[in-house]
Amino acid sequence: MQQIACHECDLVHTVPKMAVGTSARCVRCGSVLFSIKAQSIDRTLAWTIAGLVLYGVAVSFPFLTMKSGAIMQQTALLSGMQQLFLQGEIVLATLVLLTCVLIPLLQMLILLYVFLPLKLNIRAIYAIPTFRLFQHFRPWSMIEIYMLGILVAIVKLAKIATIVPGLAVGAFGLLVIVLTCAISSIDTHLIWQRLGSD
Amino acid sequence: MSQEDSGVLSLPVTPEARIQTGRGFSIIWVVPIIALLIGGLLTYKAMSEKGPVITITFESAEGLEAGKTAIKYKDLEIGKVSKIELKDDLSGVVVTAEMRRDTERYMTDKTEFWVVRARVAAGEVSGLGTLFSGAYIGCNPASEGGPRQAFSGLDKPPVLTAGLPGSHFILQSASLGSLDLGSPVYYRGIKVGQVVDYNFDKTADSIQLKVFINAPFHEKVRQHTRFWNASGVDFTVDATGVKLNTQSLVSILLGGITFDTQHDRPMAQAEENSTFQLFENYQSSTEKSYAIKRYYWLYFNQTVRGLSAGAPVEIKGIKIGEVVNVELQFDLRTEDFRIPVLIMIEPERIKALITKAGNVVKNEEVSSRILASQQDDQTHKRIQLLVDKGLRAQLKTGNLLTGQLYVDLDFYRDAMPEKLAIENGYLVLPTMPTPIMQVVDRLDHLLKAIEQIQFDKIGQSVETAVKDLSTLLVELKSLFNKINSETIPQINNETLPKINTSLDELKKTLAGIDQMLGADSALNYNTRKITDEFSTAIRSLRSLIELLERNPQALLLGKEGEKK
Repeated sequence: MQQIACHECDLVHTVPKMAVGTSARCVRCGSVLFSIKAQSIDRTLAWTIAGLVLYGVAVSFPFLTMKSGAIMQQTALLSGMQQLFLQGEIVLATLVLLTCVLIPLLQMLILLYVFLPLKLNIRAIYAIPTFRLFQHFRPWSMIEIYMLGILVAIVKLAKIATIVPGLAVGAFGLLVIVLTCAISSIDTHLIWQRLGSD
Repeated sequence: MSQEDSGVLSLPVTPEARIQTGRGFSIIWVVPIIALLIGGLLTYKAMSEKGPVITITFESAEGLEAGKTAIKYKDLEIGKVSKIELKDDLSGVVVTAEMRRDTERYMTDKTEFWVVRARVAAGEVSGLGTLFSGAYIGCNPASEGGPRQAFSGLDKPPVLTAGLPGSHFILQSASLGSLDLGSPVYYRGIKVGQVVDYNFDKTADSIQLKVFINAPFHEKVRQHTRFWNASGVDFTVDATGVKLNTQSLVSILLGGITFDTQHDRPMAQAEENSTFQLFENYQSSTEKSYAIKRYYWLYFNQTVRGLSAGAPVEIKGIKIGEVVNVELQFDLRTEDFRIPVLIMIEPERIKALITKAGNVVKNEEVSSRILASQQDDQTHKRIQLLVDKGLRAQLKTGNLLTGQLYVDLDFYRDAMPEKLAIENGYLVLPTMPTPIMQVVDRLDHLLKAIEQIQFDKIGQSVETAVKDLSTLLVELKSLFNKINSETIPQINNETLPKINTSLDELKKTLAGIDQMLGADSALNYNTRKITDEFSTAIRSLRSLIELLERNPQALLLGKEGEKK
């Protein structure tokens, strides 16, 4: 039997043992206290690994090929940032690089670092601060927005140039979904419980 | 707090069983496995697509960009520049490029690379796209030849003709003129090909142009086809009027080559890479040219004033060659001048007539073979044969006003026999003095003979003769004086009376005779008859003599008229 405070209204509850797939709700404000997800660690780990693979594909393969007459421009994810940087948009370039490239990668690496030992019942060093860092990064991961931007650009540019989406676009799109899945499958309650159990 | 307390208190005594949470393989692991499979597949594909890495040397990296400049064949990207570096000796740049995997077998010795930039030449604008997209490297892959990784780029784009039906030909020209890569080649006004390459031929000191003629027009190029430069405007004014000869406006502006084949002689189709001469214009292309040239020496002792290099060598009025050089030599041994004249004869101008089994066969190959070989013993013999028949070279006046001379070869049956010699590798043909020179020679002889007459001696003898004559006259005079003084008086005194009497007697005698031989005397009548007979006899004798004069054989055969 454990007690938990609602993070909305701070009402402390006693939570009974729950079955998988059920969630505990606050009796006062009705917000979800936590839910027991089936195979949470396995799922997160699986999505994370899939995400890392997709990330690799997205970064290393050509992203977009733009053709207009004889002009042909092919870009990769990173070379796009490089172009921004070269054009003097240093702040923008840094921001995009951080939010769309570095932070998602860091997130996945942290998940791997934290969840793999958990799965193998090993205790990773600095697992708690690392996982806390992950929670801090969450709002800064914006690959969905980046993806949205790309889609808008493709639609807009299609009128003046022929856009041939590369492999990386697909991979990136999948990465958005996979990363969302990975993050949503994290059972924070369970993780903290496991991390704090020793 | 009470809640918490009650919670603790409500803890059951018996331990609760541990709940099993999903052991073993979970379906979720399919996701990363699929992702890994796809990723692995893509990576493998990307890795396997990586072709050979090649290096190309260029003079300049103008327009080239690492990671961006593509290598293209037929506008299809087959590689990409990955790195551009300066050459160690600063003479150029080394471009490293990653090629597609399937191009590996085309990277051979014969593969060519060049930089494609915007270019306006030979009537067409090419590579305009490169103005916006930047230059790219053109490639002409060749599957034959050994594999290679390091290439040296061309300075100018070759005209792509690989795989096109047609033939290449090589044209020799003194200068490039307004021709350039891609200059059109016309056949009867149709563009049938273009200049694909040109370079300077060091050995021949001329420009070698390579042209490509598209099928089916390459069949029109025969062994005797003439190519001429149609670049310019041919403007001639002559007795027939003003003539203006041009090709299309484009070729006037940009240059071009035209070829045509005279169909009077059937000839084999020219082979790939045959060499032709490129004539300056149509006019010069129509003049026949002869490839085979043979040289002979002629030695003249007479003056060669009026004979210059380029003067024709003729046989029976037909030009067969020309004078190449006229020199003056001083023979130290004989201490005499002599003039060797080097003539060039083009044997192809003479068509050999070969009779085979009664049919006249005109075969130019045979004719040129017979006449062409210079050092051949057989040729030597053949020319010796001609010389034996009286072949001699002679200087003749071609133009009476200017005194231009030409060399005439002809047969002189009564010429002194001569033996052929070889000097400086060339046969020496015997010569004859000029007819005018012969006359001059004879006059010379005559004058010399006249000079030899001793007029002074003649004078002396005339003088003595006159002296003798005068003494003779003096003697005659004295003789006449003597006759006058002595003989005439004697005649007057003694002789004349005697003569008078004699005359009287004679008178009497004559009267007697007159009686005997008078007009109606018998003797007179008979004599007249005899005389008539005699005259008829003489007349017939005369006709006989005349007949014999005309037909002496009449003595033996009798009169012809009687026979008939």
